[in-house]
Amino acid sequence: MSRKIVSIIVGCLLALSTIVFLYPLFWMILGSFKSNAEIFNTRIFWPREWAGQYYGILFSNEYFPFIRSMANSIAVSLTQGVGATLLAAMAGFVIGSYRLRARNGLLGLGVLVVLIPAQMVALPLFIWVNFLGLFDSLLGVALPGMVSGLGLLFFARVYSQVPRDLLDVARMEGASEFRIFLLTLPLVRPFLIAFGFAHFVLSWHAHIIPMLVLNSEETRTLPISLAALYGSSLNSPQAVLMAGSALGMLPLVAVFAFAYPQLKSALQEFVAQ
Amino acid sequence: MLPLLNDKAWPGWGRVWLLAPFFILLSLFWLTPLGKGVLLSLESDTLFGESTFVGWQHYRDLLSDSRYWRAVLNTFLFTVSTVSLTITLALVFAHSLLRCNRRIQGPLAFGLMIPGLCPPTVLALLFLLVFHGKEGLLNRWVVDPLGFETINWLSDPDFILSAVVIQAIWRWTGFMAFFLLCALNARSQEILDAAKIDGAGFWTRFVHVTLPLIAPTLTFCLIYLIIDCFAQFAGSYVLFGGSGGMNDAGLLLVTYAYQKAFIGAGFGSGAAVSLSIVPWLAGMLVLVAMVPRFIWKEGSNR
Repeated sequence: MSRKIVSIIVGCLLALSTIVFLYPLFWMILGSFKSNAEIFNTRIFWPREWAGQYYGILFSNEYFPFIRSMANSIAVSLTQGVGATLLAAMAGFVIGSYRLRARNGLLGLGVLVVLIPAQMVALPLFIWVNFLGLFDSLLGVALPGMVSGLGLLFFARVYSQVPRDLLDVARMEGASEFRIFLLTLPLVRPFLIAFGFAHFVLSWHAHIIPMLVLNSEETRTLPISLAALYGSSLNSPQAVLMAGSALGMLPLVAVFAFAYPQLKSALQEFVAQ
Repeated sequence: MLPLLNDKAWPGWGRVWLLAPFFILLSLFWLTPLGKGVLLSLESDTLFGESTFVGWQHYRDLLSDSRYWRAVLNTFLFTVSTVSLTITLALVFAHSLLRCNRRIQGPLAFGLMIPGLCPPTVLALLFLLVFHGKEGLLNRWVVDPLGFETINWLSDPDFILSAVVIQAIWRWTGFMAFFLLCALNARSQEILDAAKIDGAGFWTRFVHVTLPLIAPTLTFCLIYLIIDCFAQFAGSYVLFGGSGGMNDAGLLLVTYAYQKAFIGAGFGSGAAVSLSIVPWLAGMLVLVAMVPRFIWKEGSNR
């Protein structure tokens, strides 16, 4: 009986914390309908009148090309998410399922990549990307973002748990390594989705490298466009900023809702190993 | 191209084809910039014309640069407070999630994780509401009712860093709670029951049974957060518009490297600042990785 009461109290407290955590996001959505004066007055929660025109302004590209920025963000993050997952899974498959002589060396390299994240080499990376002629191009952001040290370590460990007999049978049948790799993909599906999702979100959030590499308005990703608009002037309608931010969250929440069950099963299995 | 990938044509090369793409991109977009960065940090700051080799000059300059040490101190303060508070809060949330009804557990965990989806730039924008002048939420709901003087979060040098910390906690707590929840679920029920039958209370069970069992996940969370804090740029960039805030009270190492490279001195000293982060970060991670080993040793001595 008392267990039940405790569980109800804990549930209520958690629900309250969730509301506190989500409050700024509610405020952002409501803010996209408010005038500047209302936004800067934190005592006003509900907008006095629901002004939908800020969404119109957002889509009319008056401040920045919104649809273009959004498309850029989706393109860059998808390429990075899928690319990083595939590359890391391929390399992790070989490292995890063979006793390579270079195994420790390769994993050590992965640890180093984790230790020195791209933000710390942003400046020379920017110069190098310029030199390669990828300045102001989405590829200049997406290609460097496909290298994930964490992904290599993650998939090397995931593949070290895949039953060896299965791989050996396929090898005896004379299947090529690439084909065997393809065969293992359904086995590690939750891990692929979990990692792909995490990397997709991280690439969406990336700031310093897109900021340096993507120069013109047409190539900017959404967070960079929003930050530029925010930095430009406090007199522009803040609601446009709020509307852009709110719509920009939609793809992330959609991907999250899709990946959530897989994320849970992948993590539980990974932790239990 | 496909016959090239055939293992019969190139015995043993199948593995190489699979390894190659990752490591080619790694050398192209990580190793090369890293090497270039090291070279750059040894060259003079000339923007136009030939730069000359100056050796360790930039690093030596940093040793006597008070702004640099301010940034180091801030980064450590920021990291330690963010990580400790986030992990503590996440552990509380994870245990609470475990306790509450299964049917609401999923939706609540989902809701708590949504702030982690919010791009740091957007998040910093939203937090202007929380920290905004006298009328900010934190002032109106927490500081005023408790009877303290109103705090100007974003311009008072004593509080600027806490603004960045609060923002980071808000962002990561949900995800960390989720990781820890998965680790808690994966604990062996037999060991827990055994401890319960032996009469161990909640705290004893937590310290001696749960913590060792979830130690790998906990270490992963710690390492992930520490790296993210050290590489933090977007949040403080939007909050302070690329500056370090009043009196540099919110200056972090990555922001300082950016300032040096693009606003102040030049690429050479900017690269030197960036690279100088690596030993700080590595030192911090080694320390964290040592802690469980230390505790484990303590336990076995008893």
